[in-house]
Amino acid sequence: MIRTLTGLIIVLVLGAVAAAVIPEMQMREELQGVGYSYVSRGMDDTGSSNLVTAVIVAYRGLDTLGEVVVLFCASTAVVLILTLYPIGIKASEPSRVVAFTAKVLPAPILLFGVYFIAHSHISPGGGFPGGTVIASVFLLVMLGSSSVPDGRGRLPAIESLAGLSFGLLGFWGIMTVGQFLNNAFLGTGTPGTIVSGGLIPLISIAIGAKVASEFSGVFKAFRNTGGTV
Amino acid sequence: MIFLSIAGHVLLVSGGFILFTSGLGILRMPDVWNRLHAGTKATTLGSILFLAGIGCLEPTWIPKLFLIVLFIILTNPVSGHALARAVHMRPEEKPDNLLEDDLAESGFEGGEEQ
Repeated sequence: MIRTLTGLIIVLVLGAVAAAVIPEMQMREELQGVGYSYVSRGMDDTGSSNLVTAVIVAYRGLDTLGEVVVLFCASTAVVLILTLYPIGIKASEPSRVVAFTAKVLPAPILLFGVYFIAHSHISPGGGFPGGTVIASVFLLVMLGSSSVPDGRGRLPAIESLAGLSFGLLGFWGIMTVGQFLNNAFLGTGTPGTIVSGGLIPLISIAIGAKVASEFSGVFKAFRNTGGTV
Repeated sequence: MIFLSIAGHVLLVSGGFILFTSGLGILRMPDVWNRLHAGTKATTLGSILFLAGIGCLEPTWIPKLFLIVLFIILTNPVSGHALARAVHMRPEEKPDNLLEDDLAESGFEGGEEQ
């Protein structure tokens, strides 16, 4: 009862605030400031016809590097906690339906994930969603088999290599034109073609590999929590 | 053309309605089995109707929409099946008024040939 009342009061107060504020807000019809400059110059600057990727990877590439570090810390923490305090759920045999699906679907999903990453500068997509899609293939294959992955494997190596290559691509800019994560020193190409967008496709591949291996490592840690069979 | 447009809008609205009932069912149904019913069957049908409605309105998108529908048909029931099976393995989720349990009697509960 008290919970419902509190919720109702919060909703009413927030509604009143919104009703008071929204009519006063001056929505601009045209883009201003940095948004305008991204949209008007973005394609010429970066050679990427997907402006969202251009902003994430080229203009705000340093922020994305930080995001990658945040993701790395989060996945490391999950794996660490699961290793120290195992939940202790044993993996069970997959049913016939799941096992069959895990044989049929991985190839198209993997293709979709790779396409997502490789075309991040042309069509909607990018390293983060593409990497997640690829990690879902790993999860599906794992659910479709009765075996439990053991502690060995190359996932941490792939993860570190991908993170390192993101940083090295940034330093390449310092070596050539004196700017960290400069996007255009290789030339930007014709927007809309697969080889265009400067460093964007390379960084997308690095992000994709990193996200895919991180999420796969988290799934593997969950699978391992009952101990290896 | 007008018929296609009307059919498309009817399909869109009915798909949206079924997706809404699915969300309502997940909130309001009493136990996990009923919620599974709402969360898997209804979302499959709702999404397919919705995509069919889009197909009626934009006929050039039909190949892409067909692929999406195929993917939903392949994945959504399988995830529902896997969830139901996982719940079935938990004895505390067994309802009190259960009369028949074919999966437990079949001996396939833990997978192939136990």
